[in-house]
Amino acid sequence: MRSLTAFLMAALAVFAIPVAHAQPSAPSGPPILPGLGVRLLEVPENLADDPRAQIYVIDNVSPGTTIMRQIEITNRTSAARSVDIYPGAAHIEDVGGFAVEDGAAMNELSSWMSVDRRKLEMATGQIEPVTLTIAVPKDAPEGEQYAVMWAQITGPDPAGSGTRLVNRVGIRVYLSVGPGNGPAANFRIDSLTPRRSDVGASEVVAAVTNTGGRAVDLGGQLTLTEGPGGLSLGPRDATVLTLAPGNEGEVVFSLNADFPAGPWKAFVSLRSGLLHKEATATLTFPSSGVGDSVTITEPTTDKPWIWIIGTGIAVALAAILAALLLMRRRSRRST
Amino acid sequence: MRKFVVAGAVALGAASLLLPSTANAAGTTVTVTVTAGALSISEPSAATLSLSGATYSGNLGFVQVTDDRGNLVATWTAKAAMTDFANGTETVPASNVAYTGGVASIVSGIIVPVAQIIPSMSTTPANACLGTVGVGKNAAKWNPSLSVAANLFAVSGSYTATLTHSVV
Repeated sequence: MRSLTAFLMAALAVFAIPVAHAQPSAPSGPPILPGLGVRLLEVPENLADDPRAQIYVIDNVSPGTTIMRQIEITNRTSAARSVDIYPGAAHIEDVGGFAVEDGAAMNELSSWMSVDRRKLEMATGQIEPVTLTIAVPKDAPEGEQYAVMWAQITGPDPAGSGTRLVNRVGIRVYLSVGPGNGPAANFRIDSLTPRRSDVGASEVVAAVTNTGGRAVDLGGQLTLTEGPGGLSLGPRDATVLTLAPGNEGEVVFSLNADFPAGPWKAFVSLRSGLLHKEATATLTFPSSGVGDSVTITEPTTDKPWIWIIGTGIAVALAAILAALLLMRRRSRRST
Repeated sequence: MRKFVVAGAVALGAASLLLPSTANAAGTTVTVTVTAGALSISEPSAATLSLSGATYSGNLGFVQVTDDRGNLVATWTAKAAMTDFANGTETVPASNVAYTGGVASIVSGIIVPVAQIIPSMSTTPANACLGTVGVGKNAAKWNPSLSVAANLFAVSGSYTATLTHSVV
């Protein structure tokens, strides 16, 4: 079925409308140096394939464990800089979104975090590794917490009235405390809703629920096929949504303003790290406002009769093995 | 023979209780080198405010985010937080300050940067510019401006506030 869908999509792609993006053009001007950079240098072996673990500190550890990560700080600014490095508190909003707190704020996780050097004097172009240590105490509560490892440069004081600018960049930390591998991550696509925004742009909204025990950073693609006259569109990317366990949120796919209402066959594919879910629905875009939602029911992959047959085979094999062992014992005793 | 087997099993069981759990050691001590690049924020300048009519306003200068991490699904968030304006004796609360992200532009790569308007600043970081629907390495910049009513600065003098841009 999936290969048929892929074939149809490929065939219909020939008839796709070339949709022009209203992309902001790059203005002329002297190029700006990249500035202060942070880079994660290592990832645990068991998470090496997880794209999220390549850019964020993600782990599940038992209480009483200490983990360390190497982080690289780069000064690609025009001058020598004094760089402050420190942990900061963060949390995930109920509706989704990774929220950071101001410099002084601490939470439990940020209080467990420390760096081997809190201040670096860096020449222009210099690269320095620092070691982040997270020491989880024995009485740490189980569950996932969030924080950021910050690197910060403070700008000069303004001459007269004005604003002193501080620029900081950080690496997110998603740390789960619990035994073994920790709770599994999971999410569910609840519904797909077409809508038109205030400015007339079409959007498809996937309502999602984080049904697992770890936060997810949900991104993905929308493909529309079997539209009016056999048109198709896509794939279009979603705006990534960070969602905490137990919460519901919306992943929005933005499309263009001039858009036939449909009906369209919408195929949504959402990912977080190695997690992947898909949903299909027939959507018709409203002329304005919010259109009709289509509820997605998760396909039941476990069919009971497979389990019954499997269990039966296992029991039969066990019986045969037991019988063989018994026969061997009897033949040994007799010799 | 059976007694030896039982004794061996008991010894192994006792030993495994004393040894630290290997699951944690494997997950946290064995690491692999990451090949992703850095996430960077451009250097800060100093911004002065000029009086125009009844409003103090000024551009902060370009803020550029360079995302070299090379993710297939690339995304980043830039937030802004601000302290109150103070001249040593008087303060003008940051809630009176509006932050206008303006028009964000793409510097390189595939990204749609969406600059935000923060009508009322505070020390809680609020979204200033979102790097959305990015693919691979990308960079974007915006030149935000601040505005605050001039009549709030009753006492003359130099008022300074600190504005922090955070990129994660």
